[in-house]
Amino acid sequence: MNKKASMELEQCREDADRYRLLVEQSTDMISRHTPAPDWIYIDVSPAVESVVGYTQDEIIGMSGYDMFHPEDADNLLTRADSVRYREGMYTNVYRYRHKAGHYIWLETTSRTIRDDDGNPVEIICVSRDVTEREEAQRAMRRLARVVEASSDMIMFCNHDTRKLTYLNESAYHTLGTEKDTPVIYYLNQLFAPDVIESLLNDALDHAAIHGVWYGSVPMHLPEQLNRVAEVREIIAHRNRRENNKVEYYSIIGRDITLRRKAEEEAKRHQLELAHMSRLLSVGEMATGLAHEINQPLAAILNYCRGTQRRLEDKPDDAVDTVTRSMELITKQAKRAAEIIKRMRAFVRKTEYQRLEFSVNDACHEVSHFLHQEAIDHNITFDFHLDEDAPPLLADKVQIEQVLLNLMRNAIEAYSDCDKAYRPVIISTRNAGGYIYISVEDEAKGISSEGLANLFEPFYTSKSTGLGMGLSISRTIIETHGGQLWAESDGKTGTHFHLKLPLRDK
Amino acid sequence: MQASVTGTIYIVDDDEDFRDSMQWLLESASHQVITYPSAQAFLDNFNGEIGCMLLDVRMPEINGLALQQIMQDRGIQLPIIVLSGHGDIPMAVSAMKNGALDFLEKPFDDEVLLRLVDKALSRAEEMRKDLSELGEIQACHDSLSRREKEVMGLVVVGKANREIAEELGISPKTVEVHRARVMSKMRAGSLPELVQQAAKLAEAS
Repeated sequence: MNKKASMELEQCREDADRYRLLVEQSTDMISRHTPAPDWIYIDVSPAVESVVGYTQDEIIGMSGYDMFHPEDADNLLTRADSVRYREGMYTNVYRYRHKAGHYIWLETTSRTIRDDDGNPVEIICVSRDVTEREEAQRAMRRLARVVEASSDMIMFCNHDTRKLTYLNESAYHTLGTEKDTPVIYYLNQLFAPDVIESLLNDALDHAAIHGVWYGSVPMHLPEQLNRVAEVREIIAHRNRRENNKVEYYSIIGRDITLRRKAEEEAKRHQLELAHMSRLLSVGEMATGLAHEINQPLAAILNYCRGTQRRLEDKPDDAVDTVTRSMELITKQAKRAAEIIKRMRAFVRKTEYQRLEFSVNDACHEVSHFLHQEAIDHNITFDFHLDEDAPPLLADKVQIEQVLLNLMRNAIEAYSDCDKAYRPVIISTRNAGGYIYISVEDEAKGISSEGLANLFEPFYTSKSTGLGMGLSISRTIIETHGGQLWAESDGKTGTHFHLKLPLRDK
Repeated sequence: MQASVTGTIYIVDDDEDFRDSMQWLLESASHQVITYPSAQAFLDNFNGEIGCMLLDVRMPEINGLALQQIMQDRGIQLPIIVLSGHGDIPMAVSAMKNGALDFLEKPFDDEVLLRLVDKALSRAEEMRKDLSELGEIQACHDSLSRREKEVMGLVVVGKANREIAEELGISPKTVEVHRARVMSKMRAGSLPELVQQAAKLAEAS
């Protein structure tokens, strides 16, 4: 043998051994397959066992195609997104069945070896397990979809320029633009100038220092003035490679237009209910009120006729008589007007309005309103008022409505009770930032079962009335941040207590 | 204008303004008026003189109906006109059943009020006359002897002297004497008059 040739042969053997070593040591799986459609394993490197679980002997002769995930098997044929082609080599990412039965993600680069006529002879593949990488990427894509589809507004904001680099669909919707025709926004455009000064900058600084900020900053949306939105959370993101500097913020906000609308709707509904309940109360008190108005009218008539008689009898004293009688008539007309005024103020439909007023005065005013009913039922009003009680900030008409309800209930509690002395005790107390008001009767009390249902709508012990009074009263007090409750031993009377915060809680 | 009848008008009403206006009206018709703010005030201060009462049915503590009852129990005889407000008609009806003279719903026409007041005061005058007449008859009757009273009792039921004599076991002549003394002491001009007096006495006892 030619020495040179034998040296070359030796060289080739050494090279082949080195390549074989390389193939055998590689963690990538290197394999040879028959051409499509079956891709039967002809040869495979030992890495096959760590990648797909089969030994070399087991897998040689098996169809490579059969082990593809059914959804990915025709990726190459259909030139799916997962397939890249470059200089005669295909790179495909697909799910492949492991011997244990589960699927793993493989990234395979393959080249088809052809004979001189161009017919495929075999396919050489280098495959790598990319399950971890692929699953991480999928999780990222899912997260991105969650962010995109979130009903919260999510925006990414550059730290230095405050330019918004990303807005999810909710954010675009609230800002009133479409994702397809994006407008460039800067964070400061979305807030009123004083809010930026007083709230937003602090929130960003807090997030930059502590990583995250929670709170509420109202947004002011250009050209979307009917929408109400606020920023609830800001997360600061730092650059981990470069000096840990804050790069951008994730800003999470919420469009509360609908919630605000629902709240306003509920408030309006409550006002209407309260108004209706007041109308009902006045309706129930109509007889008493008519009687009260009748008194001054009857008096006026008496003064008029009495005066006419005097004028006929003693025309010389006309001026004195008329002057005196005019004074008397005026007083009565004012009295009648006062009753009407009180009633109108009570039944008037008002917007919810907070006023400062004295609860002691309110207690007295409401008892005047019940003057006639108290007379008819032989009731004595007994006041124990805390003269140092500070003024209360609340809706006066509504609070008076509650007091009226409680006092009327106390008066009516005596209707099936034969006691001669019938006090309705009204007391006020100022303690611990709350005003306490109590209305107590000394009638027969309420059973514990009755107490349990007392504040339920349509619960009533009376033959007339809707049973809405206490239910509405409690709603009114709770809307003011207070509480209304009842106590009774079921024998010697009932105590209603309410407390209202002096300041908004 | 002069009131056609005399007597005091007692007003019981808890509404001061209304009381004052009633006084103004009634005094313009020259009536004498005394007002009371409550039933108790009336009971404590009533002087027992002749007159009539204007009574509000709706009052705290003792209401009009209750006062009416108390007055009956205590023998206070005043004609009562009940004053009722709006919606008090059932109470006014009860007052009428208990002997009130009439009732007025507030507000009312002054002519109607004054007419009713006149009627009430006339009624009071009649009651006073009846009362004093009865007193006289009673005094005369008291002056009769036991036997004379017996004779009178039999005379007024229509018995003849002979029957009376038989019943009492005395002579007709003696009956004649007693009978003349009865007519004289009772100041009765005729037998029918004596019968009327006996009827009034029976009614009062």
